[in-house]
Amino acid sequence: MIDVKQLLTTDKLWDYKGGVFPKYNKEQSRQLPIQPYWIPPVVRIPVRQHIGQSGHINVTEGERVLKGQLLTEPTHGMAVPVHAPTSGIIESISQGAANHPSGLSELTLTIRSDGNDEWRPRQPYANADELSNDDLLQLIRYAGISGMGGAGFPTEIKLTPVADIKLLLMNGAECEPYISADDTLMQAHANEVVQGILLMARLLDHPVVVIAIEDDKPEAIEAMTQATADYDQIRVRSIPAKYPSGGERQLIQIITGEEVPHSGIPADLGIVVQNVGTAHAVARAVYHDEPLISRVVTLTGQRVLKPANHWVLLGTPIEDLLHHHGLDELSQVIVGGPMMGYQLPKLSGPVIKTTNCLIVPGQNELSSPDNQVPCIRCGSCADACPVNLLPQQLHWYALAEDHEKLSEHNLNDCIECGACAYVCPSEIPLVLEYRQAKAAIRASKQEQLKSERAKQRFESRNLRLEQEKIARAEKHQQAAQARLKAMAEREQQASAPAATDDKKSAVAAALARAKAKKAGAVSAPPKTVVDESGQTIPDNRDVAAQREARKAEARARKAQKAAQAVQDSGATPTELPADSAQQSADVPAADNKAARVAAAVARAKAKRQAQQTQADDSVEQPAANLTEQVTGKPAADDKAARVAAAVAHAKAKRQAQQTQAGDSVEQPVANLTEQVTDKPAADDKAARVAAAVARAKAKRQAQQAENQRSPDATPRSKDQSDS
Amino acid sequence: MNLLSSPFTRQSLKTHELMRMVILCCIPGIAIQWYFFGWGNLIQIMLAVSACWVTEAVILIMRARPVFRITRDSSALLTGVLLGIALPPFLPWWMTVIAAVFAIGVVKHLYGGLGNNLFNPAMAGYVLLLISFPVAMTSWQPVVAQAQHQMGLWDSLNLVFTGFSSDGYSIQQARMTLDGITAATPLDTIKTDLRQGLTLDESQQNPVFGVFAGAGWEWVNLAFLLGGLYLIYRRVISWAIPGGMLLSLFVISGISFAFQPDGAASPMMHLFSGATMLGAFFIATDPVSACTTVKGRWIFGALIGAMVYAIRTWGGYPDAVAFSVLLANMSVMLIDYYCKPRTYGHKERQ
Ligand code: SF4
Ligand code: SF4
Repeated sequence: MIDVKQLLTTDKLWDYKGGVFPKYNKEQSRQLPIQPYWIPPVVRIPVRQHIGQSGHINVTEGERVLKGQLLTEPTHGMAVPVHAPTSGIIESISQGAANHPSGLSELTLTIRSDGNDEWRPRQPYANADELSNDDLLQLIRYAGISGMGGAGFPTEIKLTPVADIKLLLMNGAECEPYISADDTLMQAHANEVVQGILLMARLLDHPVVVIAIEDDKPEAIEAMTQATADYDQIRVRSIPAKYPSGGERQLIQIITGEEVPHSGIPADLGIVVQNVGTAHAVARAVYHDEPLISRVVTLTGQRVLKPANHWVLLGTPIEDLLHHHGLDELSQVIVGGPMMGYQLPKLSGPVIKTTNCLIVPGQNELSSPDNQVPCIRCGSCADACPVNLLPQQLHWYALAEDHEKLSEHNLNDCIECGACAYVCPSEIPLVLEYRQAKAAIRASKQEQLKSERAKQRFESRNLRLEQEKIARAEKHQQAAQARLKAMAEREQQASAPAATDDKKSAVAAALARAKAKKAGAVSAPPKTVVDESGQTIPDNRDVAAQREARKAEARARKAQKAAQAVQDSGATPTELPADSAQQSADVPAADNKAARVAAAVARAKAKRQAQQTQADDSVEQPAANLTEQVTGKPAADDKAARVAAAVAHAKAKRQAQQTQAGDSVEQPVANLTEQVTDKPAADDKAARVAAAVARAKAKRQAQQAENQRSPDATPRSKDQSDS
Repeated sequence: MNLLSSPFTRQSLKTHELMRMVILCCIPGIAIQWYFFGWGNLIQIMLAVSACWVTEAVILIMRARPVFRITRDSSALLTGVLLGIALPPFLPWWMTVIAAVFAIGVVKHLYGGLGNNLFNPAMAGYVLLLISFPVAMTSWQPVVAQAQHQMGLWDSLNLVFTGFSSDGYSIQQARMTLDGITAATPLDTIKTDLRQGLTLDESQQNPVFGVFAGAGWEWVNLAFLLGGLYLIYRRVISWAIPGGMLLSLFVISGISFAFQPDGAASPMMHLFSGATMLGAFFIATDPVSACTTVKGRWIFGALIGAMVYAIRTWGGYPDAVAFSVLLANMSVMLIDYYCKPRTYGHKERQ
């Protein structure tokens, strides 16, 4: 754990391996004040501008909306609403050009502005102390605030503490060349930024706050230092300018010397990282009741005559904005910085919450992709990689599409910062290759999962057919035996005087027959259950029935033997069949007791494990083992199955909480399902457990799939924030 | 619209510039070599470069690749230069051509062209000749000042292309020293002398030795060292490979010298004789066939250093850089595999 107290006093900064020093090109734009916003004739608001889902649209075409009016209702957890940036009429609600590297369109609300810029009634809080923490979170959520530095993670969620947060790290590094949006914002609105920071700190139960700013922004450092002078829990730190120091994980390393564990999140270290722009938005939302409807955007590039920062209404079409600034005949616009930005696929795409920079490059300003030559394994890329990967090996394996080796070389830890491609003398588009490889791996994983499921289905079907065959054969055999026995009985009846005993054995035989019949009947209904997700799951009922049949057969045989014994000895062995019946009655009772004990133990275990939610991975195994143990016991019956169900539920819940942990969870669950369904001892209950697990799984996968569909929504991509 | 991908900006040094920089940094060494050993190596370099370039162009045409664009990377040029520097000055021209064609055609292009070759092309060509024509390949002439017959440019050309100088001297005669014996390289001399039971001191009375290593050779090595240091300074090569190689050669020869000061060549001798510096800074550092991880490069370099020492001391060939480099090339995959750096956020590998 980090020593936060020390962070307030120490002068030590850590360094991370790698990184590059590109030409920053910030000087022109960062000197000028932020220009006021311009009201475009139309604004286009994509309903989704962040990681997560869109809210529910609550306006209709033709409706007049006022500035700041809520356009979508955040109906579920990861939903962030959008607002009207200016007053006007909703012209259309349709698919429109998105501001996204994929070039896909997005459901967009088009508002024709009336030029009045008329606000909805506002109720600002003069004193945020009136607000409870929950109200404050709700307010942030309804203000539509999501991370403004990078990927756009919903701010409210990041501020809802899941762990004991010791450090709030404010990211003002802005390490990407060209961009100076945060820089000028801190210069001009330091006090509001600090207000926002205080609100955030309050929500996180007052951790230590460190504001990290790269040392090429002396004015911003100065302004922030002054604005925080009265707060001894807040410290401004100047860090050396190097790319990508603004990456979340790199910044943590610089300030604390700690690394966020692989597949973990900063909260695991007790750290929350927020962008300074986000803090500003929070302050505006609380003290001015101003939702997130505008942001600072750096307009730069060789073709921009006067690079500067502008307040821009969200939804302003980029093309119109550039025209407004005298730029015609646009061919190419880069959104974001030159290191991690992307080329805008459709120029009519709007400015959104994460758009911090627009570059209109000149003729030869940006490198052309035509000069690529083969990799000479010079290793410059490995020296530059801040995550300590071997980009040259990744390049090699990406070309070979060797997914296994790619994972072995931790492709997933690549933050796509572009440092490797920046230094590559062979001008290989490494980042592009990695993105494609990542996508291919995701796709093939999904494919694999699908085929695995199909295989399982196929195997369970085979098993079922086999079992039916056996059951049928047994039934025939039993019938034959019963007939034989009946014949023998008849003979006996005719010859022997011990009629009462015979009757008893006849009764037993009849019972056995009835049971066998029942067993046969049970095996007839459909052998699979289909759960809500449409997934077919093998039903274990016939397995149980078969077992039952076998038991019945054994009992019948016993009875028969007894009858035989009677016949042979001529004595009166009345006790025997009765005894065995007694026994068979006793056994389940005993089992129940044992099972109940096992269940209690298991529940206790499950509870303990549930408490250890942090210790995620390590829990996985025991839980699975436990299930196995319980279901594996031949003695286990319904109870045991219920225990398994409880365990599985607990697990499912825990996993749902760990949505961040992503893929790693996949395997164990699959195993669990397999274990549960495979055990012959498990019956309906087990099947139900399996169904529950499968449902939980399906849900989670659906969620993941959702995340993946939105290209920048993988949990990983938030790491790239704020560079 | 063909979308570009980030990053949109790149640092300036390009692969072909790197290659040219390496070639430029060879020039001091080549100049000193010319000063001490005459025109022979310049002729060899020209020959090798032309042969390499033509082979490259022909193969690119055969592979239907853009000839002009690819030859621009100058990698064939570099292979030719290194080969020319390493070959004996008066080697018959056709041998040089064989080496060049083999280096480019087989070692480089049969493996898939630039970036895909497992072996250092120049050294593979060199070793091919060394195995096929051991006598010719070990025939270095003495430094010009000690040679019985002075060979001018015209003589040298004749020697290389016809086997006889314009005055009718053969290559063997060109190797005669003032004393009228066939010259041997300093490393050769030491090895032979020590095997014959002479002490190091006795051996070093031989005029092939100079101030601190072999006469002439010491300055050639020094010049390559300087060129190499400049390459490191310009970050064209990393110092891991030369560092590892020179360090291991120094340490191993130092230890054996300390134990038997009269029975082993001194560390200075090892560092500044033969192709040590050329090998350390220009040959072993060929990135394509070397290790690519930082730790791996140290090991790669150290391995070469150790093998150079072993072959020089116990092997049958007088110099060992070429063999050592090729042997180390073979272990690259393995070394790199075990030298993967620890990724951010991951635990140290068990
Ligand atoms: S920097 Fe480029 S050429 Fe050099 S090893 Fe990396 S990918 Fe290959
Ligand atoms: S893009 Fe990925 S591989 Fe390249 S330097 Fe950044 S983290 Fe490393």
